[in-house]
Amino acid sequence: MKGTQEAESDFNKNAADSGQSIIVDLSGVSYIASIGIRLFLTNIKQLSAKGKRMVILRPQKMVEEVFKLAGVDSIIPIKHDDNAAVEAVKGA
Amino acid sequence: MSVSESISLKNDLAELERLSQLVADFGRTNGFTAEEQNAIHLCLEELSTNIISYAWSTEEEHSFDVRLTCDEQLIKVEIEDDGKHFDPTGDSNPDTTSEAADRPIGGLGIHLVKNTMSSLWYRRIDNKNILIAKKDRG
Repeated sequence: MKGTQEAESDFNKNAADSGQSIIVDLSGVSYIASIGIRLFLTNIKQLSAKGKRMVILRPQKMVEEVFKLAGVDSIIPIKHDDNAAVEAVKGA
Repeated sequence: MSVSESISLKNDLAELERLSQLVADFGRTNGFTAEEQNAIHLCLEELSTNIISYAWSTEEEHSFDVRLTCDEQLIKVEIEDDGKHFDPTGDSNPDTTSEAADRPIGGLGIHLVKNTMSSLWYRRIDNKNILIAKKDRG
């Protein structure tokens, strides 16, 4: 699980620790399970506590399905084009 | 004609790598679609993670058995462990609707498995947890 811990540390550095609203491009990710979902939930909690947002951009079919089954899309919007993601992250 | 593959795993999260490899090889050999491949991988990862993390209260080495079987109609995952009694089919549905601040982080694994596999069957037999998850094909 070394890979997971490294990904977690990198992701936290770039996401929650940045204190900025962010768009996460997931187009290169073909698989996600609950351990990955937990990482997104931990980060959105920290961001939303600071009034910031997170948007997921262009997830592959399986990844989008898992996000929806987990109900994460209601707190982290999923978008498939750049402009829509930018609008969503601004809160428009 | 059905094809079968078995593996015995230790109670160590590093074993999930071997499990991923088994699913990848088995899926390739038996012509799994991407959706089937992902569902079986998710099912085995979530259920095995639970067993490795919670089935035994000591850190002593234990092992559990995984068997994958498939034919043209069905893919079957069987997992058998001698850890503490745990029936994942009775697990309640997690909160997937509240706001970010109130959203629990855990409890999603079994929920994902229930929603991506066609059926889950559990029995406690001879002090063992026997779990069978099935996915219909085509």
